[in-house]
Amino acid sequence: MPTVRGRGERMVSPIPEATLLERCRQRDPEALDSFVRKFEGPIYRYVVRMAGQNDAEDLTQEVFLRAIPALGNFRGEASLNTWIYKVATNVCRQHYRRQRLRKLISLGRFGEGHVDAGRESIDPFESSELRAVIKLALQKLPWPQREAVVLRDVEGLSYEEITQVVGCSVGTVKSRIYYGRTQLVKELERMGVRERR
Amino acid sequence: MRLVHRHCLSPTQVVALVDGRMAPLTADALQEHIARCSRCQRRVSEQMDLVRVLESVVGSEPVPSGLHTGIRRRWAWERARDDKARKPIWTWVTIPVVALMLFFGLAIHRDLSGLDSAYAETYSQAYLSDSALLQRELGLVSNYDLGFVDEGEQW
Repeated sequence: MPTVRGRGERMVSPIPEATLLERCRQRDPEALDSFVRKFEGPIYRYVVRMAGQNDAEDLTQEVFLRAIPALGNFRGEASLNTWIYKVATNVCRQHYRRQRLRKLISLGRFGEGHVDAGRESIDPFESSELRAVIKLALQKLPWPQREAVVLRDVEGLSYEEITQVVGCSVGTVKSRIYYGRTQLVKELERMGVRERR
Repeated sequence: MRLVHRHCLSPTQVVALVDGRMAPLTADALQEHIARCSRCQRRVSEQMDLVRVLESVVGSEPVPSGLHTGIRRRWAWERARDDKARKPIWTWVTIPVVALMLFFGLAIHRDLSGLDSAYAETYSQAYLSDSALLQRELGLVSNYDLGFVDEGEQW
């Protein structure tokens, strides 16, 4: 029966958020270093689930390159955690649009033979096959549903935090989570995961 | 009085129930319905299973060892590029000075080349007049030469 779920991985830093933020705004190298250390792991994992493994490292770098100069404009309306997820979401959205455009262009040029050109392949060195399959299944979800499911079920953000990141109402977030999960179940079944569970 | 939900659960209710984000009284009423409705039972258990699977992969993704260094390197590179792009004040002074120097340099060069061309014109006129004079004076010689050659050929 349903139980209250625990949150996903939370980012803990020895420096208080306000102090860290202030020092980062002053471009204190030590503070910038701990800012990156605090968020790089969770953001990298989030980017992997949203955009796939191939470009994850570059995109994570891009997130921090955008976030660090923008720290001066951070008003503190949301938590730093939510804010960095918002930056990452925007970077991933841009990447997704670029990929889609590239796919469209290649379709126009070469016909349907190139549809699979950008598809992620299963990494042979992946320690967990299940993880790889889940990543592939997530890639097949429509973008808004993928965002909602990953932010909720993988990153452990609350509905309110997701509304701040994605920019829509709680009802919409819940609905996206529902349909995203339903489709993900279907995808995993198609990939034969259900039998192995 | 116990509340029993008569209708099937809406998508948002399923999500809230699975995530444990529902008031206890409402949750109990929904549980009553789920116990009787196989469709809702399947929907809820399906989502709960999925959430459990997703939770098992949380945090298990290895982060590349060079990620931190990569971010620092790119940050340093971007800053260096920005610093280069942001020109210091002396460059704003240097640019007009160089432009003025070029302008005056070109003007002086044009003046000098004007002198050169005037000189060349005079010289060429003098040369033409000299050659005309020479042609007139040597006309006889050339006639003679021609006659001589003609004669020679006759021999």
